Amino acid sequence: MQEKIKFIHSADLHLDSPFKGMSTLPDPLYQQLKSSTFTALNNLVQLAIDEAVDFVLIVGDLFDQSLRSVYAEMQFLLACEKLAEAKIPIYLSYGNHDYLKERTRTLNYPDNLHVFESDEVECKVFVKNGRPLVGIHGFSYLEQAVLGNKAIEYEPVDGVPYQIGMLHGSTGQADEHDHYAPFQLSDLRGKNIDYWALGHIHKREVLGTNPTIVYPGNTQGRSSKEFGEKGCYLVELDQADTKLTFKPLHQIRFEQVMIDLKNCNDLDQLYEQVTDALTRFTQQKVIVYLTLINATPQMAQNYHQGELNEIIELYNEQQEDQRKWTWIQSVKLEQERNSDESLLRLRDPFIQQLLEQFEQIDWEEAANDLWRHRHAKRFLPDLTEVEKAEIIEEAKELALYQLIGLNNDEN
Amino acid sequence: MKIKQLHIYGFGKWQDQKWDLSEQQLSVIAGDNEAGKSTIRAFILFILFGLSPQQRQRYLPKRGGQLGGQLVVQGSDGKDYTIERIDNRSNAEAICLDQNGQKQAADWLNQELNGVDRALYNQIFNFDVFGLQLEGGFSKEQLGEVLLSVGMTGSDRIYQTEKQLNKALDRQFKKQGSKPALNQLINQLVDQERELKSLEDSVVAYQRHLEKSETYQAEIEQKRARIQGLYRELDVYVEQQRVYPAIENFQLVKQKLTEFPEKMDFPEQGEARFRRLKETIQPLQADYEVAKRQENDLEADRLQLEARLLSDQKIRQISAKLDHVSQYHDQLTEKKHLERQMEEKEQMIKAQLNELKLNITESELKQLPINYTTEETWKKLADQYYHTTKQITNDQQSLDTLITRGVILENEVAELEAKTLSTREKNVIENELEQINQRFNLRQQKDHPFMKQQLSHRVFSFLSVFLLVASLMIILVNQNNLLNGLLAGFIVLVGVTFIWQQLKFRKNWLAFLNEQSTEQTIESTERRDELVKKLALHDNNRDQLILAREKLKQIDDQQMNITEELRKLTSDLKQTEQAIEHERNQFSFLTNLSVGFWPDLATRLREMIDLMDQRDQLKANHSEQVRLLDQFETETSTQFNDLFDREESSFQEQLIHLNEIAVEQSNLREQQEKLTERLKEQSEIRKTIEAKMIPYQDNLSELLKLANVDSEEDFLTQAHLYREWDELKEQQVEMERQIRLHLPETVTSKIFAGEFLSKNELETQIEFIREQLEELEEWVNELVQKEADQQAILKSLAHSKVAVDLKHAFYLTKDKLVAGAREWLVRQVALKQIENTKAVFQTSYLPVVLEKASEFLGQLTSGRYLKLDFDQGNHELFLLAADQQTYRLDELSQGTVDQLFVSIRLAISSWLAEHIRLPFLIDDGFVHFDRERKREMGQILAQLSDVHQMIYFTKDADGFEQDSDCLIVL
Repeated sequence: MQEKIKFIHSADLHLDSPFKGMSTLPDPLYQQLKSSTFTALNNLVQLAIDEAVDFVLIVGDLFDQSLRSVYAEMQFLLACEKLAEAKIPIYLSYGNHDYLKERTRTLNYPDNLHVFESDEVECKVFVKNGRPLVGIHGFSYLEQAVLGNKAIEYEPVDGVPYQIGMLHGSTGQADEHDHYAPFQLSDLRGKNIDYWALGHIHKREVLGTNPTIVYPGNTQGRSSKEFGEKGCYLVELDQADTKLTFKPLHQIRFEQVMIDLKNCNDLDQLYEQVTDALTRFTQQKVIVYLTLINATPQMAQNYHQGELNEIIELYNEQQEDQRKWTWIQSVKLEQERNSDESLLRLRDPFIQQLLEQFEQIDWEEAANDLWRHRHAKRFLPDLTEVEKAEIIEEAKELALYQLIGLNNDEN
Repeated sequence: MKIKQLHIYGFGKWQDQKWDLSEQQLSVIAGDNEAGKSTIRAFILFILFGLSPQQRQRYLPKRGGQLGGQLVVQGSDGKDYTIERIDNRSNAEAICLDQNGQKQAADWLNQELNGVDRALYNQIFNFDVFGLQLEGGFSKEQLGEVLLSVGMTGSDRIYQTEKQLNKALDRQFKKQGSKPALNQLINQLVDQERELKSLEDSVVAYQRHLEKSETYQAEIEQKRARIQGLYRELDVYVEQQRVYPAIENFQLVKQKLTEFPEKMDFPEQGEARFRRLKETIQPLQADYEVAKRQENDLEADRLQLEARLLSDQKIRQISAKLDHVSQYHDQLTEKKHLERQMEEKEQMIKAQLNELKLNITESELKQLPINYTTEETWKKLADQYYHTTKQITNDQQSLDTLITRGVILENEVAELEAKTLSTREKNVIENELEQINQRFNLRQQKDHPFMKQQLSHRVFSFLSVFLLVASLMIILVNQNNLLNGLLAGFIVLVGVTFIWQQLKFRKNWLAFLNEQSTEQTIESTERRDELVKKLALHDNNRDQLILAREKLKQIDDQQMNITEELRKLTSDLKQTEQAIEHERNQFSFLTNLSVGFWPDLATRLREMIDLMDQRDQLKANHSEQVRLLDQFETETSTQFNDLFDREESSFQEQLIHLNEIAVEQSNLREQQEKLTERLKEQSEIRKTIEAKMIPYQDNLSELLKLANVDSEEDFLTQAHLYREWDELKEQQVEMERQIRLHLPETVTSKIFAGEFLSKNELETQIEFIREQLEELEEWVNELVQKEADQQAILKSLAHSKVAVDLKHAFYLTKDKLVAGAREWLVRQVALKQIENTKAVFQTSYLPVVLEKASEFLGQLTSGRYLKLDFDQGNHELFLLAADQQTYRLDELSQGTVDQLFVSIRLAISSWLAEHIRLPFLIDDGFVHFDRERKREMGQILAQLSDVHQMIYFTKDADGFEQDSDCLIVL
């Protein structure tokens, strides 16, 4: 009977990565958030030692190119040394965020770190008790964008009972991320690889079994989009079975919470409801994005008049000093406007015209002053279609609120 | 929706009032001032949209009662519905019922109103025709404003919005400013970016230091390697110095070896091996000599012995002859024995002949025809004669005895006949006895009841046994418990009865016996005894008489028999005597011889003849033996003539001599065998020694061959030379070993080739290297120090978080800018769209309204004015008349101006209400209209009522009288 192997599959640690949309987070919490990627790394190391795994896989984007620091490298070196003491090897490939061209060798890492230095798929053999046990295949990004299908380059090697493919890339269908090293599931299934350790997509997902194809997600959420528990997979592999156990590593989690305000008539009730909804996060460090639905006109008015924000600030003030905290980062009121809109179109030609106008926005005209500002233009990224759509919605909401939002009734 | 009926329960001045509106689309409600027209209008609005409690206060019924009422309307589905509101019921909520009184859903009314609320309704459907009148001029912009103001949004609101957005945008960002938040963030970012640049340099610096450190490390490694190399070199020189004597010796030996051939052919350890072989071979050779000699001696002995040996054939002949000697002796003995026997027989024959004295010769005797029959006949005749004579005598005596006994018996018979009863007397006595006995028997047996009882007892016993056996059989066969129980009971019953019967029978039996004994009388018994005795005596006498008579008869018979026998015997005796005579005639010598001697004579004659035969046989045998003996002796003497001495004439002596020869030859043969055996053994010993010697000799030869010499002397000379050469070689190897042990291959190979440094040269080299080493070590120490400095710098850089913090700060600021910019953009987009909409609204929709208004104005003015438009500067409105003249507003009459505004208002409303079918509530004010124009107005309203229901409130109903269907006069 072949020996069983146990390893950790992680990816997208994005050490020292910046966090988006955190400008309003109070400094003490921001400081914690800043170090959270390193805490996740430490948690990963501790997990590997506690579980006495055979090896650790890091499938790309260990570092974040936007913040390349010696400190981050140093932290990873310390992690490697700890694992070296525990005699646990690390197999590392670089991804689109820490691609080889951008990397200059800085520190001298211990021998337990095995880096895939080539942009061609190569195989490193993990040896246990003097016996070759696992063929670990992988490649690193040489440049930021790898647009070819790398999956086809993976070929199992002879003489080892297990084959693992490390692949930092996305399926052709993925839409949230760039389509780097795009592959089809059929490409992966066609190879005689026992376990596909994927990276790049930050959302945890098991794409297939037999062979097992897994995105472990990133180890620490970095924005409201990367919500929920974040961590790695502890994988136990034998000839018959693959056992996957998700292990959270994050220090701070992001959450999206929806609160139904159908029965909420005043701000006190609102405060109570918010407190209730967030009770489940006590004993954790959580950054929450609230969405309020079914708001009464009164609540909507409170929201637009900023009174609702005061309640949130009150809640946040109490959290700030806690060891474990739940911080409400934003509140969004979701209103059903579609039916209103059609109604508005019918009864008000101006609104009808205005809404039509929102369908043909001249972005140049609207954004130029700021986006073409001689200094600001360096710092402002081009707007994505999604962002544009969001901005349209918000602008529409703002315009309607300003034009007809409040006192549209004699009453 | 169409209103069909109004029913006021109580509203303002109206109390319990009901109006049915026209089936047509147009309804005219006419009444003077204060007649309650506005209240009805307010009532309709109240029912459709409700009123706040404060507003309801205003319409509480003047005369008390409940505020409220209902409208009957035709719904969008063509069916009638009732909408009812009552002040103090559910906050005056509308209750909507269908024709069946079924309550409609809460938002039914809102749906029927197409979502139009009170404000919008007021703007579009419920208006005062003169509400539009503006003071002063009427520019295009103004009319645009009118359009905006008539719309739900209202121009004010739009302006307000624009204002607010602009203000907020200015607060956020100014293109050239520095105070607004975003401007500040931009400046901050520029600064941070600059800092970041320098931070990026720190990474480069780290890299630079790292590279430097690595260069130092490499250099140190290199120098250390060089130092190690030098040390190794130094070690070699020092070692060379130390092993210098060995190097010198090596060279010396090498020199000496040149005197010898390069290679010497001599076997390995040849001399020693040679000597060892010689030592081993010598004793073997001695042994071999001894063995060989012994073998020769034995061979000589053997030859000598073989000369004395006779031929095998001769020995076999002697042996065969000697084998027959015992037979010869036996024959000799036999001959003597025969001679003795012959003598004995002769004697016996002579004695017997003398004894018999028969006067007969041997030859006569031999010729007598005496055989076994003769002997038998003589014997038989003698016996017959003797027995017959004797029998006759015996019979004569028996006859005499019998005659005597006959006489005695006759006397006895006569006596017994006298004592015996006669037959009659005997019968008398037997009869009497019979009678007595019969009497007894009758009384005892036949009449006694016991006999009967005995019979019945036997029957009962047989029956009981049968029943018992039968019952037992049934029990054995049957398995019915109940029946078995019953049968067992029955068995017990029968058994008990049987035992009882037995006891009873025994008792009866005893009684019977007692009875029998007592009944006999003494008298009868005595008489019977007497009679019996008489009879018994009679019987005894009679028996004796019979016996005596029988015996007498027997004696008579015997006398007769003996007499007969005597006669027969006498006859026999005569015959015998005749036979005897016959024999005497045949054998004359029997004549005088009594028959009683005959049987023995025959035997003795016979024996004598036998003896003579035996004697003759012995004679024949004797002759044969003598012949055989002579033959043997002759043969022997002839055969072994050469072996015998002439003196040995005696055959016995010859035989003894022959025997001696045989013994001697046998001994010689034995000796020969032993010698041969010993010779064989000795030969084996010699061969063994020879075999042992062969390998040694081979080795020796091999050694000589290897040494390439022919003699052992040459070999020893060669061995001496080789020893010298070998010692030198060994010395050379030892030196070489020592040198190799202490010096590396590169150096040793040179030394062995004769290239080596002298002692002085070595010292110079060692000194030079030591100087180099000192210099290098100093250099390395300096480099190590430099590398350590670099490591310290690297460590401080690696552990510094300043860079990280600054980077995060930069990204945070950038994040803030992006967020702020986004917020700014939202406002900017909103503002731009409002502005654009306004422009479009003012420019695009105005012509439509103007066209419609022109149509209405033309109708109202009976075609006098054709078109309503703005001048080129868009500043002023003008009218184009049918005569193609244009008129500014101030050039028009008040009535025309009224008509113009009514046209515009209706145009605006009809344009706005294009998609919604709701009743128009139009308040009058057509005070300035002449009758004609009022009529025209009515027509316009009627025309509009094609699409919408029109409820027209007016002060006077002039112009509508002709259509009384639609007229309600208050």
